[in-house]
Amino acid sequence: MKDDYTRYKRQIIIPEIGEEGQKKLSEAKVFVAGLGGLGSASAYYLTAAGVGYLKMVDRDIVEMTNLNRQILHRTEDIGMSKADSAKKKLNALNPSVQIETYRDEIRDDTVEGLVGDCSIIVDAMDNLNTRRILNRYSLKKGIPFIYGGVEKFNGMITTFIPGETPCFECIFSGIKEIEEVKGIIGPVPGVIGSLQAIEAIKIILGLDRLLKGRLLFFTGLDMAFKEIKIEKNPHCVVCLGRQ
Amino acid sequence: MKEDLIHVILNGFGEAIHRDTTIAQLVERREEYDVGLIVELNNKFIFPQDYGKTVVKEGDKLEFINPDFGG
Repeated sequence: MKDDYTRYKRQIIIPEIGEEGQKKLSEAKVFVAGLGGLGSASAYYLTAAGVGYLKMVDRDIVEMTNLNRQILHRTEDIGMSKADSAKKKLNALNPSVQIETYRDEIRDDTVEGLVGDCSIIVDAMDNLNTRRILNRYSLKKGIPFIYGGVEKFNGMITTFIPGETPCFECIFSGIKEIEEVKGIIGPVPGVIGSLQAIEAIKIILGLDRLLKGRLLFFTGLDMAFKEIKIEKNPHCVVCLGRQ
Repeated sequence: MKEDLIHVILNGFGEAIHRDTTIAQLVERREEYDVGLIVELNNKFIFPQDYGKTVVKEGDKLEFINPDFGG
């Protein structure tokens, strides 16, 4: 379709994408877990890139305190579910993309129905426990899990590929989360969420050089990226049997 | 008698520590131990089960990082 070609022209002319790559994007199904700071950025770019089907889940409503960083939501959306707020913006951005959003909670008993037949999980959650659930589901289904996390001026990202890389639990087992409000400056989830979108696009396109076995750590105060090599943990109780 | 010290870089700062110090000993003296952190030694992630058997050497670069789980 001519309109679509025009919309995606600036990425279609990239040799690694082309019309064939754009077709792959249009046929892809991606799950974005969370529509806060990280999800706002990743969902926006995946929609703009023409990923054919995006399924997104968030249990919360839009609050004033979200608006310093969650750029899918606006002042007029306060009180609306983030799912509805996001769907409205993303549909307006790119009507060609099939957007499904749900106000729901990701739990062990809901994760399968929510992720459905999506082939990539983009982690945009704000807590450790849900990430553990998504990690287990990613391993069970053998689908990539793109982890991202942010706090203050810092952020982290890596891509977990079942069977190839360590899993989330290999790296973060034993870590306990403090129940407290986390400070965050808005552009940081923008940076990390954008990087997650790039990883998802590369997976869809079949491009290599993903963040496999590499934990990328960003610190805005030093304006620096650091890469940490990560390996499968032979003591991991979650993935060891499946790798 | 002069103490047997080695020099390492810990979270970007030079520090003198006793020779044969393990990562476990360094972690234990930090407040973050209670809440959880990850440890990087010379750009490589160190598993928690290896903290006690990983001896820090002269010139090593260590980072103790509190993982980010906000969204």
